[in-house]
Amino acid sequence: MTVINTETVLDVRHLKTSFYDDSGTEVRAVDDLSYSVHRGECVAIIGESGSGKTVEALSVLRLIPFPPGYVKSGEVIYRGKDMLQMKDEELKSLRGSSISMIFQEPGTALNPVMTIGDQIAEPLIYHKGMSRKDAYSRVAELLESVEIPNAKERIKQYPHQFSGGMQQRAMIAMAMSCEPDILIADEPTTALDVTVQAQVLEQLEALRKKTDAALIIITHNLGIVARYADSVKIMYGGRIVEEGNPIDIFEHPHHPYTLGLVRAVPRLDLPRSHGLHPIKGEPVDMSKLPQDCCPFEKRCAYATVECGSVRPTLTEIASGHFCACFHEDMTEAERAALPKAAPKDVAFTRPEPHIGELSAVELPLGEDLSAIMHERIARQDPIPETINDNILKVEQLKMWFPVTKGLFNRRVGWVKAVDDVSFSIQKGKTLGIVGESGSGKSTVGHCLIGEYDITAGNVMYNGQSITKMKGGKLRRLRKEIQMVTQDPFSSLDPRMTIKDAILEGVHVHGMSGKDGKSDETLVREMMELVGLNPVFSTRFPHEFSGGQRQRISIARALALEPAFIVCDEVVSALDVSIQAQIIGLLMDLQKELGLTYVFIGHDLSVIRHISDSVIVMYLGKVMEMTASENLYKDPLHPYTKALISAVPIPNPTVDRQRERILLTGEMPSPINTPKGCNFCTRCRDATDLCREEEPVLKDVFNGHYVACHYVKEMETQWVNI
Amino acid sequence: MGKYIAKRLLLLIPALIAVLIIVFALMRMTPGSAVDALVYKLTSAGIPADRASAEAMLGMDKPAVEQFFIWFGDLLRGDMGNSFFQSESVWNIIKTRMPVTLELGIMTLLISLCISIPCGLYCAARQDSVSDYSIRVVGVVMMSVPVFWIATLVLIYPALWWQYAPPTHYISFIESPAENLRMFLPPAILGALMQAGMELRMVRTVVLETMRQDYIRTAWAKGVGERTILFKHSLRNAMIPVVTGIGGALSMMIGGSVILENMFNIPGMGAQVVNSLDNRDYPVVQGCVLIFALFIMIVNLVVDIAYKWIDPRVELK
Repeated sequence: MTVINTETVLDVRHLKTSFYDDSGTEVRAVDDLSYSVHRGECVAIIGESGSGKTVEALSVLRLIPFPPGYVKSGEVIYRGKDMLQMKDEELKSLRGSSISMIFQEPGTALNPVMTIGDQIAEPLIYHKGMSRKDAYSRVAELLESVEIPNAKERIKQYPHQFSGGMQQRAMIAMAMSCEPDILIADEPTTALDVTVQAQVLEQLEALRKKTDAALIIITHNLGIVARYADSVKIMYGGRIVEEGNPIDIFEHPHHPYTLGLVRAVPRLDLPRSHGLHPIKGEPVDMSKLPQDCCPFEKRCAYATVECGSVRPTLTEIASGHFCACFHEDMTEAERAALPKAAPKDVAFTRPEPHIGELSAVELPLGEDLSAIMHERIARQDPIPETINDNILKVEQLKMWFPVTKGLFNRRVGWVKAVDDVSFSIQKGKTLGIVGESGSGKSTVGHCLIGEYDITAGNVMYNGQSITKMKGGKLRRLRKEIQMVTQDPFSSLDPRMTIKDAILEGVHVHGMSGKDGKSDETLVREMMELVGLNPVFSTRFPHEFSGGQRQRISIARALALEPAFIVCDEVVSALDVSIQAQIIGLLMDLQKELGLTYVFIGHDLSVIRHISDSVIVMYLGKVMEMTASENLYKDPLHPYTKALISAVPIPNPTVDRQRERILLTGEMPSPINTPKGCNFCTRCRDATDLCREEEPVLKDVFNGHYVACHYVKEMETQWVNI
Repeated sequence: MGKYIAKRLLLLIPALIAVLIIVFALMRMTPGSAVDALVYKLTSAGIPADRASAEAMLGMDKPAVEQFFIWFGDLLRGDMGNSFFQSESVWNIIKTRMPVTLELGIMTLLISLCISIPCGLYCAARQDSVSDYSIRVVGVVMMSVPVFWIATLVLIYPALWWQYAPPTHYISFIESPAENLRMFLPPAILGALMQAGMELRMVRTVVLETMRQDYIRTAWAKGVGERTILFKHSLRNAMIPVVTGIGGALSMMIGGSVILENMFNIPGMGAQVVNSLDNRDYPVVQGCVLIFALFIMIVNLVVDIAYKWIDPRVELK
């Protein structure tokens, strides 16, 4: 941790920002927030969606759109002056020069019709009064400082010619151009791949250290916070519920919400058996949040009467460690002994019934439901003995898409999205496929459900090749293999009720009325199975939250009684507390229904947590394939190692002691894959052999497959260190 | 770019052929043929005529398919044929009428843009203010008042009050700019007002839409002023849908200016087509529709190229 200068650069006092909806209802997005930032300090503000963290950041620079937003009261003191009272002209001179900001989606935060150079030069011209020519040469320097190659050429390009990582680095260059005192970064790396995230954050740190700028980083990613922050604020319901240094927050969390967050995130460094503890319920609906209570009360396992009627204030519980909870001084054991029991220490707890608004939608799993499951299991066809227990076998799968050009769509090349991938999955197990965007992981998933005509290879389901299936057989396969996709907002038809969505596939496959069950019974059972209250079956998707929609998607898939589900980034769009709920639900359903999963994702810790074995993909090829326990303990491929080291571990003590491998550059285009090993352009150990000859995927030890020429040699070498 | 334009121009050919077939067939499917019209004209002029001789005079005694190929073959040689009833070639008619319509159309477009873009931007910048509401109300009035009614007022009242009437004889701009404008400005302004009413509402909406985008927030966060944000960051992005609208409006103006052309006695294409349709003057209608189609297709091509110029993300393939 850095030594913090005591000079305060920004002092936020009692900030309140509200939004007014069409009916005039006030939503207190930020409700009485105070904190200060010292020179050169990295302050992290953590919160889930709807916690008010972004609104808070925008309020500081008065960027809240009015109407409907409105900074009601408070002070934001910068250099002795209250920014909220400043004249527009004065404020404008601070924005971008003394206090600058980086936004979440670099793709939309840059103007698509202006060149990168013009956009970075703007603050230099406005604030520093530079001439266009001087500004441009400064822009080139700035782009070089964030390691954008051919900066002089790149200046003239437009944002869409930059990759996501480069766009965000250009954003950083822009924000740092006038050497601000304070940099506000709102989810700066959420849209980026882990390896790129690590690069971008390192560059941001380096630039910031050089100019001694303070950084306010707003994120939901606990790992990033553990890695970089000097001071952490946890926000919930528009208020800070706990603040302190990272050690306090991650190792001695006092607020039940902080505790919940820390426990809800899968961690790479802990064994898989270490369970996730989801926070029950949904993040608080700010429009319905009463003033006189703890915002976390409805989700809190330790809540007492007091919590529902009095608002706890932020009090200092140890030097520099503040917490807003009536029960913070209790020990873990004392808390557990409170009337309401704490979540049981098992791998998964189904959401418990809760009081009030939140309980209405989600249901607990009742005792009678296990009967439904047993009945289903009994009904399932026994697997023929002859085909051992591999439910799915993929042999040398290739999925190439043609690249065409010209008037007659001449084929000029191939995008080798999936190139020679083989694996098999045992019944009832989970195979994780992890990779960065463009690795081909989702394409594999789509091949498995028979969506594409594969270029070469074979996909065998229960001993039969799905590539040759036609007619009735193919229809049966479509029922057997289901897919749940990433975006719960676009994967459900907004004009179909939940009931219709669940029943659509059932009707298509003529399964309606099977076993004498009415459609109503089926919908009720399915909704109960995924923990939703069947009363809401006639509602439309927009009335549900992201996590609930994902449950609906799962119910829709389960209604067809599949044996196999492809889960494509199913938890990527969800908040951590909800993510843990859905992971738990999936694992639980697997145990009870004997489902087999292919779980596709980019989050290594989630994938490792849920999977029995893991495939690491890079540019359409398998780099490493092993049991998921081995993945963190004993990664062999240099890419896997880099990937693991790029994932920050939400524990400052552990994370700040790890060796970090920073990958340079970005994944090459899948049209022009490099000669030799696909990873050779970014591998720090690459040799001429790697650049010439492609390594084969070989079984190194007991089913641990690696595609690297130097695995053995590197192993001994690294053991020596 | 050159390759792209060449490709697009090549693709015009099949589209134009389709237009030719459709217009040729449609003309002949309209009840009351040119033959009847000719017989009527001749007999009323005291010349005895029967259908057979009239058919022969018009070249319509041959089967329709053969007629089509004769017409098509002539077209390929650059001959659009002669009018049935005006003793002039179709090309000559188009040659004199097209510039008139184009002048009116382009004037209308320019005037409407000069009104709609500044007003739309102003409304967007002062969203929900009194002036925003007033301008929008005026806009709705402008687009909803029937143009023939307003045109009647514009023709009648100046004549009543000041004994003023716009010229009734067409004089080209080169001959006498003042006289020409005296004739063209009133209908152009009227057409433009109607157009501007629609356009300004569209400009306002798209500018407001772009003002909500993340990159505008980035610009605010950089400390850029409102004027620059509006003109530099927002307007160019907003132009993308506006250009589409302008393309459509221009195409419509060329074909739909009949009312104004008739009322202000402007000898344009619209008036000509209506007149020829009444007479069943097949070659003139066919020729004019061909030119309309070509014009609309070229406007579309120009709009697509304009996209590329405005939005660097657009790839012309």
